[in-house]
Amino acid sequence: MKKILSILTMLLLGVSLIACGEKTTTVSTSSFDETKTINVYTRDTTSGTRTGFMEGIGFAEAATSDSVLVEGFLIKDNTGILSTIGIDEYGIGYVSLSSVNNTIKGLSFNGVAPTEANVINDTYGLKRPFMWMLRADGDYPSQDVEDIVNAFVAFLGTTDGGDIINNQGAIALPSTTTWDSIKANHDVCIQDNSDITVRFGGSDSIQKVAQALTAAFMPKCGNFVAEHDHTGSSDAYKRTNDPAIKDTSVGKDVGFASRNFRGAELEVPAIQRGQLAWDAIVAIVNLNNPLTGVTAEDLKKMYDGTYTTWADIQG
Amino acid sequence: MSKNKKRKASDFVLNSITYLSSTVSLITLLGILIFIFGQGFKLLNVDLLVENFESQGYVADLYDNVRLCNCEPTIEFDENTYYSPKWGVALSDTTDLLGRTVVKVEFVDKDSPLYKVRDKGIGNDPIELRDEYHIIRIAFDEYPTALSRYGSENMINYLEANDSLREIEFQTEGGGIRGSIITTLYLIVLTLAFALPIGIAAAIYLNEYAPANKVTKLMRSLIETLTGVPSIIYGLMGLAVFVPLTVKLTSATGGNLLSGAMTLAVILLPIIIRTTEESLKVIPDDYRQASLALGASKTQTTFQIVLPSAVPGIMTATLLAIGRIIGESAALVFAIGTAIKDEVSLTGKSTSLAVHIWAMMTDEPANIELSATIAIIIMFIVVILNILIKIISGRYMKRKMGVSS
Repeated sequence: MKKILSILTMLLLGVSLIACGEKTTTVSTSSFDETKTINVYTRDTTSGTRTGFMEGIGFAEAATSDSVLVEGFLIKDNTGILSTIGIDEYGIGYVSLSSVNNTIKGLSFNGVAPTEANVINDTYGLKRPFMWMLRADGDYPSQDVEDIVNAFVAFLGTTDGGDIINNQGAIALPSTTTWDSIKANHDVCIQDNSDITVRFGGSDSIQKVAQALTAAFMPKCGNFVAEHDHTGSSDAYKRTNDPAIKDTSVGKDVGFASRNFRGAELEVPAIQRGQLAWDAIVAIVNLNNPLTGVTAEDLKKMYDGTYTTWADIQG
Repeated sequence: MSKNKKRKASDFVLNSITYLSSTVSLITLLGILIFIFGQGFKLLNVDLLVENFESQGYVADLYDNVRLCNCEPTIEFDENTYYSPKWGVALSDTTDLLGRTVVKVEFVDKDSPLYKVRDKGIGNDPIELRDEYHIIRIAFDEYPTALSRYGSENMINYLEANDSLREIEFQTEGGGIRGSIITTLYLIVLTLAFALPIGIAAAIYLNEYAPANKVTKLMRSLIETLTGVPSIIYGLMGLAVFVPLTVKLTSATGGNLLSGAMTLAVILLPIIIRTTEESLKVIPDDYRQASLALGASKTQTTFQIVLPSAVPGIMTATLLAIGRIIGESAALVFAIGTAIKDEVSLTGKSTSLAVHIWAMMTDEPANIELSATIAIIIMFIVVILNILIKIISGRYMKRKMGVSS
């Protein structure tokens, strides 16, 4: 009796292991059913990626409101959208170009493929700006911090800073000056700054780029210490210039936003804000999806619920 | 006959259920192990354990009168490594501990102009371009910059096409978890230092001194309830009580190791009290009566006769406590924070290994491989501690036996 049971158990164990193994291999062979409903994935309303995407497809009211979106849409973060589209054959989502990998398919937009070359030559239309914002002059913890921040902003506009931005998958603004040619204007960078901390914050989409930039700029400017705490594009303004927040423990010296500044943020003097780069946003689908390109119109109709099945787009 | 058959059938069903259940749990546990090892094993190496998390960056250029190398490689390379005879360096593409693709220095010839480069930062000493460093970019005059993003082959081609360079940026590997390991050890020691004396003393009171009345009963059931309180609630308490307390008493400015250890100590108290009390309960009353009969006072009996006999139980409590300290993350996110640090100080922020996993998974994109690697290390530490405690309590028991015989 016992023997029979243990043999049965072993069999069960074996079968379940085989079942596990099979599951992963069969995904790529199944065929695509166009009559299935489109599963729409989006970021939440605080995301700069969402603002860039919705404005780019001509559906700006969806940047800050969930109620205009198709019924049954799902909110996920960047990683969540990538991993879900990798599994969900009938899903559509969007991510930053720098996050695109080979587990999903990036769609061309209005007939232009989502490549870095096409963003640089300005033919790929679905993109958003990366912006920076500073505190007011004289409102820094010390003069040294202010000088380092000003030097950092100057560095953002050099080819050396541009290289670092491009190296992270974002697209730097064109420039011809090098840091070597302007560093004489920034005396603060030839002293030892290793006991000075500069606080960076704002958009989490820019975090990787910002960290690479400060890592590259630290040895160029006296090994100052960069503290990164990225919480969202809205905090770029709040933590540098909002009187109620900027002097609390979460206050920042430099804030980044992955969208254009808007509303009260525009009251900050123009000299305290600017753009450092472009980032492309890519609409993504599962690898099994035969779709290779979409128009802004298609995407808007998918997200507002005019198109409900994948056959609608092909037709 | 038929009755017998019926019983056999029902026996079979019941037995099958137990076999099936144990198989399911075995498969689940094996699945977790396979997942963790499958994902994390390839990143597991000594570098990860001893490296700093922050990488040190350098920017440098060439000394004025250096000559190009034009030398043949002195060692053999595999096919993924690219060598520049002109500059005497070999580079390869690799993935760093944080899962990023980077260009790694494999070899620098002693005659290479890059062997010692001039610091363009504030340092005056030459910098050595060592093996294992990661090159970020090499900028030339009047030529496109070689970026690590385009790989080592491209970088070598660019180097070969130029006779001089404007600047080179490179950095140490980084991404290591040394700081988090040290923090975890600190937390274990500190938390036990707070929780064990209080917990054991409370258990002794409850078992030896407390009168058997309603108040004691209520106290006991309250402590039992505390075991089930989710740790995130303790975390909130830590943030509201211990963080301000430590900020007031020490030089800390926010969440710190001390406030974290205090919060963990509160989480552990119920576990330690309960386990210790259980082990005190099983000590035969004969011991106490014999001691009292010999003229020892109640206090002497408790601390010199009863407590030593309960040591294996206290050891078990300690082991459970350490397991909980290593595994706890929700409470620590509040009580210490999630900033990964290399320099660990009692009044500063840093992360335990479990919170390090949390920080890696909330990164964009989430770093599943490194998280799984840290999970392997955590499991390894727990297994080692388990064995250690077994050995220690085994030794202790043997010595006790030896003394008493």
